Amino acid sequence: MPKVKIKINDREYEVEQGLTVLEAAESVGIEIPHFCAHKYLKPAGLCRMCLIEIKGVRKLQTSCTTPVKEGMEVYTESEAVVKARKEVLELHLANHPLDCPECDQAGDCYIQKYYDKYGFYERRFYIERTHFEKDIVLSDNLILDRERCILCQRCVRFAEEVLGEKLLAVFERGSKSYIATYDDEKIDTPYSGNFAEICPVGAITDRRFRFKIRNWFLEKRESICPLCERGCNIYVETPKDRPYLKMYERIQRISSRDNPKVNKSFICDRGRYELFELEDNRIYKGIYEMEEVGWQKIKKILKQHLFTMDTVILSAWMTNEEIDLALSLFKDFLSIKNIYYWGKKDGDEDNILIKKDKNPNSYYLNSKKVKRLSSKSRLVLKGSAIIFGDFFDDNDFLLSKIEDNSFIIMITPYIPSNPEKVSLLIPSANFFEKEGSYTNFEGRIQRVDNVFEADKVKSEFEILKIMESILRER
Amino acid sequence: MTEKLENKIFEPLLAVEGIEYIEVYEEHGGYKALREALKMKRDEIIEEVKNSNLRGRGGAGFPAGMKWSFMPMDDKIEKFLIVNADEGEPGTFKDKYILSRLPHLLIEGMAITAYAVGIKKGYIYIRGEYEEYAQILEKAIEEARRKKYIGKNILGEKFTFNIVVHRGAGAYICGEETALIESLEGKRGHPRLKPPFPANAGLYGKPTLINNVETIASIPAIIKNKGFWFASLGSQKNGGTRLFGVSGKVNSPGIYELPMGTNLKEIIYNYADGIKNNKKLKAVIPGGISAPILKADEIDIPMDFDSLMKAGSMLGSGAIMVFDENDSMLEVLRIMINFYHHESCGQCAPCRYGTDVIKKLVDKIFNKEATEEDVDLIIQTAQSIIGKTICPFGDAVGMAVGTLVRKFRNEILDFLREENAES
Repeated sequence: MPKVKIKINDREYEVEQGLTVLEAAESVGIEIPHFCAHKYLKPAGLCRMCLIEIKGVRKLQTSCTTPVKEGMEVYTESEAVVKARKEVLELHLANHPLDCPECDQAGDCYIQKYYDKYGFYERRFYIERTHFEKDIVLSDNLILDRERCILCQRCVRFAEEVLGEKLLAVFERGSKSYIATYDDEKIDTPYSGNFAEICPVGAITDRRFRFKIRNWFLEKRESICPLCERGCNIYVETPKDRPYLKMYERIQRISSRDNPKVNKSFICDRGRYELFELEDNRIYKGIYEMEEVGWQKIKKILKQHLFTMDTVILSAWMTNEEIDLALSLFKDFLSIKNIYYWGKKDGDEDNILIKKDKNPNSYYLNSKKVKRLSSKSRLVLKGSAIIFGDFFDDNDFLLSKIEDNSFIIMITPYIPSNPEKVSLLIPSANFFEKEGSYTNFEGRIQRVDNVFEADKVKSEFEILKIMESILRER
Repeated sequence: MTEKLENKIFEPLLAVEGIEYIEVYEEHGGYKALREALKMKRDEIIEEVKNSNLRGRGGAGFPAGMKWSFMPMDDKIEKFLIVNADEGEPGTFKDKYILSRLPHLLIEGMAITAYAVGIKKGYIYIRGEYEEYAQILEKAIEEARRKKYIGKNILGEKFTFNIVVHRGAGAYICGEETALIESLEGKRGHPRLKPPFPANAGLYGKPTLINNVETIASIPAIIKNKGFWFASLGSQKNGGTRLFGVSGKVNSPGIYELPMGTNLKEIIYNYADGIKNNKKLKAVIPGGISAPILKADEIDIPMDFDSLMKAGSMLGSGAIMVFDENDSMLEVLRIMINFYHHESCGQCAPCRYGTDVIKKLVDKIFNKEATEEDVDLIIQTAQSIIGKTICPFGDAVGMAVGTLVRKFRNEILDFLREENAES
């Protein structure tokens, strides 16, 4: 990208050509207040918060609609700019219900953030506020509060520009304007959660998050979504480490994390709402012959059986590192011929984010030429086998193909649906407790840290390491 | 009347009975300018328009010739002409004379314009309430088509131009050119971000020339008598005559065609025959409701774009509204803000919220609940809107309301005091 030189607040910067002033300033760490501008939506110039001064231009300009030009001199905090910003913000607040104490956006709200810096603090408008409807159900996941709405039209534009559908619109005119769906129909899209996330204020809130916990009690931890092979970047929001937050579940909310090359700043509803299910049906104790066993016993059993394995079935939820280690042990060291992998069933796909393959690491296994098993595979397990599994909805097909008298070692974070078929069950860390890399559908390697400590169980990597030391002992 | 009729463009034609019929129009020199224009080079026509100092009659007063020259001259590009006949500015009733009585003058002007700029399709976006005039236009277009003044191969030349009449649905904002374009495209009438300007990307993203009815209807006279003649009719940089619509407390309200730069005082006292019932003049809105109000002692001023701008007002649509000593400026303020409040498209926050806040403050005054601070707050809020919106609507509200309250602050305060005393 060619660069241009511009001055912002009297300091010279080199920024990418083609950016707007707002984006250029952001790229060098200067924040210009805005409501309607959004990195992945076309500029709308509606909220007028991002006004800036350009040397030689008489009127203040909206930085979200003004492209940078070589030699441009911009002021983002001049007297005129700050005055205008205060005035625009004051008008935004003229009708605002100021119900922050019960608003889920509080703490994460653009109005609050800017008021802190640019508020007049002294109320000037002693007028009655216009009232609008406050609890419009937009979808199973969304609720709209028109009093809080500042009509930035991010939701309208998100639907049109990103989803390619006209789902919402502004109705009426002037100060009577409001956001609604056409014919008050419910929003039906697998991306509905984004409407709440994209809203800069508390107008559209997430019904699954409403009244759950205050924003400032949450810590955002980086991760990716494993529910399809795109590997959208996400934040797992967890209560901060405070004694009074102990009673909360460790995952409070899943939100998008910006990655221009993978998912921009959007995620689908499965990622947003179904990832919680990864926390359910966990097992924390090993089971051998229907009895709980500890690691000493597990190691002993592994010693007896590892050298006589006939089949190894890896999982598409293993990290690159786990797969590498597993292949070096089973394929290279033990020379096992029957090495396969399995994963969740294929599902729907679209040309926005959702991919057909519902696993995070199929690409890497395919690139290693490991064959995939599916419900149509004719494989019947005989003798002894190790199965790696992360599955909590779809493990029937494999377990139904096990011959009696086989010896099956299963390594999984979840209670299997047919535990009686499993000889030894080793509990493992779930996705959020693992660290490592995943390779997405286009070969992009994304490294994630573990979101939570695996304090009760070991990760597959650690389990493989134990197997390795057993193998090396001999 | 002191002016000679031949120095006017509209009045001589308006005086002719049946001028809306093509035969009568032709008898009075109609479509001669088009014939002449078709023999001229296209840039010669644009040059004449530039020489004429014709400035946009819709309100902004942008030089028409310059606007034309912004259009790409490449004829391979599809281009559009739009005549803005939305005539929504309160107090304005000039275009309806042209639309209803001189449809062929407008059509001829459009054809010349289209020829000069290389346009094949023109639209007349007409105010929804002007249903009757839309029918008159349709009829006139049909007549003109039969006589080959529009349509395919106009007057035997290799020039094709067609006109479509489109009726608006009643929003004031659709008089703003980009909102009009959106509306014409079948969308919600919201002004667009500029740039790009319509000359680059207008209707359906194509280069579009958009002019007011009176502007386009002035073109045939410019071609017939040359640009310099037109320029000489008016004052410096303000060519031609203007249709001034005088309404309110005058003895003879109506439309007066007068040279640009005619003194406002002269218009009110000489042409409109002074104030009704010998009352004292209180104030004048010189160019439609959006033109900041002038007090009685400010009306000794030439009615041209530049002079009024200097006086802190604007010529706007040339709609002169006259108020006498009995008129309540507070009532004017209320009508004004109710209008803006109702018509703000609601796109930009400062305009949407600002009109709402001001309306509530004005209501507060009428409810005897306002303080002096509230009155000043109207001025400050008006100021808060100016310069912060996509289209000039915000500036218009801010200027018109702010100026009125500033100039008649005492009258408003007196009202508050007297009411407070009673209660």
